[in-house]
Amino acid sequence: MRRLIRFSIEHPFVVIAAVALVTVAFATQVPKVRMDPRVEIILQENNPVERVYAENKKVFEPYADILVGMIHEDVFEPATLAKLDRVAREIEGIKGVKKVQHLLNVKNIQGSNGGLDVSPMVEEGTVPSSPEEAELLRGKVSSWEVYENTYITRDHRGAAIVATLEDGVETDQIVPIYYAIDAIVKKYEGPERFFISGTKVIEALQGHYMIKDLIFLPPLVCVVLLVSLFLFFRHLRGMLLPLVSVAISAVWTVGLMALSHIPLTIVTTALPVALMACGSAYGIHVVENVMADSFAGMRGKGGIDNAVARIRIPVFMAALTTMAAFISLCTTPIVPLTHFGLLSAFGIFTAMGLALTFVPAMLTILEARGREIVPHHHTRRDLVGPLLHWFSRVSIKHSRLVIVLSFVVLAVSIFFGRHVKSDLNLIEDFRERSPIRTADRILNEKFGGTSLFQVVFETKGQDDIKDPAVLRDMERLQARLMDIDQVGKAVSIVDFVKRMNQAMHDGDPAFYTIPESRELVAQYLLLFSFSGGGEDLDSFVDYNYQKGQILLQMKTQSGYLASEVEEVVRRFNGSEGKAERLENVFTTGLAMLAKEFNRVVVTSQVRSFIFSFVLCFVITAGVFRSLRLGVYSMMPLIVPIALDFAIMGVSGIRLNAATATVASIDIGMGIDYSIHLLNRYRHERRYGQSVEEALSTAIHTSGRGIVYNALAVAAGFLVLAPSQFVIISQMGILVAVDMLTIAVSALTFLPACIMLLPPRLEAEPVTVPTGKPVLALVTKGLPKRDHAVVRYDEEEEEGPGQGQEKLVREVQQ
Amino acid sequence: MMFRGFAAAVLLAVGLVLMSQASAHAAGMTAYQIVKKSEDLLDQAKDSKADMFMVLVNSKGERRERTLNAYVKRYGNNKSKSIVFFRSPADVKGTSFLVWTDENKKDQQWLYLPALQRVRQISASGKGESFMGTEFTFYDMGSHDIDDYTYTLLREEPFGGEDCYVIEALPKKVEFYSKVVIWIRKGNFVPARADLYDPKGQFEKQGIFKDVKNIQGINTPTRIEMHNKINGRSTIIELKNIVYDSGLKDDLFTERYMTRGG
Repeated sequence: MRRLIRFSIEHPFVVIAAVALVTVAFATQVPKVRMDPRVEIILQENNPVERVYAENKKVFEPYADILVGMIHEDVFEPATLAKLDRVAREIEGIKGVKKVQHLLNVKNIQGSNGGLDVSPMVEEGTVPSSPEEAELLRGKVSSWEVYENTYITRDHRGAAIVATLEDGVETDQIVPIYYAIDAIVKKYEGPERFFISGTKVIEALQGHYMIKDLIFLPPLVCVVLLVSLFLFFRHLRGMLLPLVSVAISAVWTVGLMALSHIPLTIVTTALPVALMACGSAYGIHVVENVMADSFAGMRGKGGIDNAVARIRIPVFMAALTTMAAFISLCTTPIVPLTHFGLLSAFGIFTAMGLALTFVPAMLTILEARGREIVPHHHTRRDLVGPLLHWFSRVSIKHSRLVIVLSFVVLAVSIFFGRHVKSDLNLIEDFRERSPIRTADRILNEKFGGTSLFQVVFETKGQDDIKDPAVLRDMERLQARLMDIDQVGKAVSIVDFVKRMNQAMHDGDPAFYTIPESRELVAQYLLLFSFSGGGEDLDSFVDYNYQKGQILLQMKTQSGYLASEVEEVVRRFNGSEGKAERLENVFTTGLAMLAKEFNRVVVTSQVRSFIFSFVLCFVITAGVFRSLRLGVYSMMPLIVPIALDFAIMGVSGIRLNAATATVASIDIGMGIDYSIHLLNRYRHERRYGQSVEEALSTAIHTSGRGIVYNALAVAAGFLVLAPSQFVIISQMGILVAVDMLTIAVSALTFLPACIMLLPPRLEAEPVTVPTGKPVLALVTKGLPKRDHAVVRYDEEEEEGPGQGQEKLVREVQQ
Repeated sequence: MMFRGFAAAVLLAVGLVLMSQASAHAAGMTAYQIVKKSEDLLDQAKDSKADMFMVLVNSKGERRERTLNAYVKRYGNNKSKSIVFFRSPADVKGTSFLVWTDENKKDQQWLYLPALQRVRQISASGKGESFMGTEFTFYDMGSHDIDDYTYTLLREEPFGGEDCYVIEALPKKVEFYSKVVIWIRKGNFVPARADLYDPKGQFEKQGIFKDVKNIQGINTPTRIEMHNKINGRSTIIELKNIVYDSGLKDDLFTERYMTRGG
């Protein structure tokens, strides 16, 4: 590392050119990033629930990918029917749309005068043009309830166009399809109103909104960083260098994403912002230290080299703990979290690397050419100083009170944090007032529901679905499922068989039943397939009639609803007297994935939390060469993280793919605060200060950096608050709040703990040739030569505050 | 004709018919002449019967198999009656399907379901709809006026190891197909392949005619495949025990006969 730094300073142009080259290479990859907002990719491919879902999708044809609802006083007005027909035709013409179904073209099965009529509700090109014809159609449509709440609302005030997409249509191709549909319905809007939703649309729009986030948020975080950097440095060099270096690392990371074919998901959309908020500190340290030395007279390449060499270990450590915390996310089976963890770790590593090579290289060039810069002093209204003073007074003088209060907060937090719920609900990721959420709400109010769910019947052999006993079981379960609140519609092959039976008995409603003989069922189905209706059943049965499914339309995709459905199915499976040919009944659908997500997100949150906790402990214990100090470092994290869950519990923020990253980010970023404070404390103790004095000094010096850093990171994450996605917004706000509470905890709870139970410190301070006593930061594997030059004193503390503090002190001296 | 219709379904779709061995050597003939010649030989057989093995394959390669007995009788120009009796699968055995075809009218169809012991007339299908759930449409199954299309001899090339004429047929009025390209074997004038383009100009289906056998002097392909390029489904038909001109009675093509199970 040392050599690399020296090389960067000796050959700045080489380093800058190399960085520029790599950046360009990665930047060219950025446009290739693929978006994948599908729910099913959230769980790993070998997840059993995901596997069942994926396999079931192969067995049955898709039923509904996109729903277009048309709301009007009375759908059966000829003009409205004509509009429905035109809109449907235009939608069918969109590339990628496979099939469009609506109340005019769905198959009707009708018996009449000894004959059977299986044909579309309305013959091709004969949309009712008179009120009389429209009334005839109303009667026809009303005579069979199978389409009610799917294609037509019960009150006839809404009609739906249900589109399915071609097999190979990828999610990113759906966005143009959505907008094409949107353009079509806009043309026909009024007095009829149109609403577009459906899982595929929701997924696609997520992708679309992701782009909005990507366009809007990273520039915003740049502005926020520039403002904070301005407050720290008050000069262009200090503002731009850390920003540019962290922006470069963001480009590399997104480039890597494209190269490794990691798709952009909602969670990874937050990556550039999170990375820039977390990673800017490294550049700040380096610039700040170099500036400080420069101001103190240590200029030129030698000066820069010294300053960077001194800061490299703390920067490396800070990056290491943050990386460790991010990598802990890889222990989860939730794919976007794994990706987020890996990429963030890479990004942090890059930001650190650039801060130690690219930034010094730039500084070398700029110093040789630029004018000298006078560091900004915190001489004017210092708000942080009094705050730190207060922190030190409270934690030292009232340490017991602080600890008691902390434990009270902890207890209360645990009480409220218990109530944190997890749920994966695509539509709720969108903002309350977004058009898609409005559309989805209205469609769910009027129709059966925009979320599909499947209850699959597996039988023992080919054609066994035709067994009347199996069909009766299906009918029985279907009726029970319909009783579940939030289940708006249930359709299966049973509805078609019953209707066929009725039709073959001259439309007699008494025969709307499942026939007694298996042969008759088979013959009905053959007849249906003759009538061109064969493929209409492909969504309900497999090709060999060994599997059949009840399709549920549900008002929400919540995992909790899935549990309810599953419970009904479980009870059915446990019931007596089921058909002999019936093998198994199971549930699948996106809501099941949500349910599975709920299950794994909790366990994985615990796992990644423990993992990052342990990893950070090991690192800090290693850094301090003291298990005891390792333990102390972790302590200030406990209350804030518990508080985080309490905030979630009280405000109803759910544990989701985005908020599940918060605890890990907290640990990775927050641990640095402990390290800084403890390090300074130990340093002062070794100078012979008392516990109290050492703490006071540590709070007053390191505290400033901690507060600045917390403010900067919080400000960075707050950029996520205006995100298009509720969950990202929540994540941003939570991290921002947590950074502040961790900072407060590190400056109150930690000192209070030390006051009450001062850790025993061992080892002699190491003396360096300069004569200044410094702390030897001994890490394994570092060459002996390096030990002596490592200083880990106030100049390396977080944020520019310390250095300036020291400078101020030195100047005053 | 039903099973010859099956055998030559696509061919018939453009007004072509199977040509007998008696047909003259076609060297120097124009595409239209080839077609016209075959038209003249159209009514060689007045009726026909065959055993049929039908496989429906979906886009995933899953199969549904059926065996049927099929009978067809022609009634003058572009009119015919056909009836099929299902032999298997077991649960539909005895089901029969009667179709009266008239090129100028909608087909009339009746279905007999043995489990219900009733004959039901089922609503007329459009010509463009699937015939018995196969990839053939009613239009494919019917015969059509040769002058509905114009023909161009595109080239001569081998297909399936046999030299063929490649003839492009363009409809004068686009209704079901916008273009049909037919490969006709030079040796016996039996079609080998037909590519069908839908009204949007998309390559929709491909018919393949294989295993040509000489039956009562008529060269008949006994394996016909229809591959739908859009939905990925296929229908494969194998014909056995073909008999031409056995003098099928009109009785056979009645509701009453349907219930007798063939």
